[in-house]
Amino acid sequence: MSGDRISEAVAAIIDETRGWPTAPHRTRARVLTQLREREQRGRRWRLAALIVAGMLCSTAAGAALRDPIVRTIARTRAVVAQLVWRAPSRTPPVTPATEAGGGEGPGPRPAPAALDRFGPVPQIVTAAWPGAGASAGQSSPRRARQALAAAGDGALSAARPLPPPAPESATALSPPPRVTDAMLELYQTAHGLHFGAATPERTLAAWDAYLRATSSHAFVPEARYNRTVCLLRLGQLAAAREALAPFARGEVAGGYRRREAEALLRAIAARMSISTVF
Amino acid sequence: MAKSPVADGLDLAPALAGEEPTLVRRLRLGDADAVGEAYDLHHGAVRAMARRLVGDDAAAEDVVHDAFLALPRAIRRFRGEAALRTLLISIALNLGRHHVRAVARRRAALERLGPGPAVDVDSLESGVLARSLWRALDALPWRHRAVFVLCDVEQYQSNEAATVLGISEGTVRSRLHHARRKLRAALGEEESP
Repeated sequence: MSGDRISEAVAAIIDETRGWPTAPHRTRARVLTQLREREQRGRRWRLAALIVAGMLCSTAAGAALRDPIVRTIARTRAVVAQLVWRAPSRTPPVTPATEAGGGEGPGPRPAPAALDRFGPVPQIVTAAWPGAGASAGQSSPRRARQALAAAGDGALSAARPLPPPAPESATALSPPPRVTDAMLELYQTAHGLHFGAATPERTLAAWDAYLRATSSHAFVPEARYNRTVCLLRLGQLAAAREALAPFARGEVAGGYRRREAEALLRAIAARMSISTVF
Repeated sequence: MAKSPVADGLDLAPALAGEEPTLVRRLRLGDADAVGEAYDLHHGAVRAMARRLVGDDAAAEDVVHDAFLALPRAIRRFRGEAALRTLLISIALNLGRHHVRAVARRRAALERLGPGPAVDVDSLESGVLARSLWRALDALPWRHRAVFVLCDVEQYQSNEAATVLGISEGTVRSRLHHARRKLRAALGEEESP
């Protein structure tokens, strides 16, 4: 077979495929229609994707915002709980009994200024606080380093004495008193006995144990008052009168249970006079 | 330079060649009307090549349709180094590959049944020659068939065929040589008995 034969065959193919067998405009219309449909589908998909992306973004943003808020709330609650339960110079906690309106629970909460009269901060607390040792006359190593850094190298070569640290107020240096778990357990035990079905003897012993453990805890006024109630239940009127006297004079926590103490003292006086008469 | 394959019909491509960059830019932006304009300019060349590649009018029409439908996506990878027509021919060539096998099977089945009325040739000799060449082309590997159709039927030069196929010019010449040899042998075998 010669090369001319291939050329002839090619020419035959070209002749065979000459001209338009179909209308080209139909294919054109088909192409454009399908392209427009594809474009519309793409637009719909893009819109759907945009909506989904927006929803995902809003969800993620919501979660991102919600998490810090939740964490902040939890942290605030923890701080408030610490302040309420641990700081003796702060508001005493609301016990179930007081919420229920029990007469022997803490009454109207004393004002913060009045709570400062609870007494000195326990020594154990100041010793345990790291910054407490650096009192007004002493300079901590950190403060010394800061002073040296502020003075510069010249000051170091001159070996000048370090300036005394600026006096800081006692409140700024003194840490919040620490309440040990043992104190809280003693209080909770006494409280449970007092408002439970325990005998007054056991309750009195429990309150005494708590009051021996601390004299400045936030619940000390309530414990002292409840202790007098125990004394009354036991019939120890003289001791109860003696214990109620500071309440009646308004010396406890700025007048804590003052009216109740006065009423009780009047009742004790009446009872004692009766018992004296008869 | 490639001969314009559109023998009949109005070929607008040469007249509008200066506007091709604008057209390519519009195609890249996804302008459907630009696809219409590209079709008006190049459908003749693409259709002719497709018909001579697959040897079936309906399949060629599908190739043309698919090629222009694929143009908006293919144009994103188009770097502008070749003409838009070259890109379209390249797309059609790749799409035609999938049609060739089906058309070859159909052609073989029709020939087993005997020559039917679908054979539309002016002369018997020409028709016989064309059928022989189609049969021989169907037996060729795709790489040889594509090179032969581009170079010997469509009259592309080897460098243009290399651009369309994405291969080197030497490979084009080598494949063309092998294609011609195989076709010569196939057509000789047909004549020998």
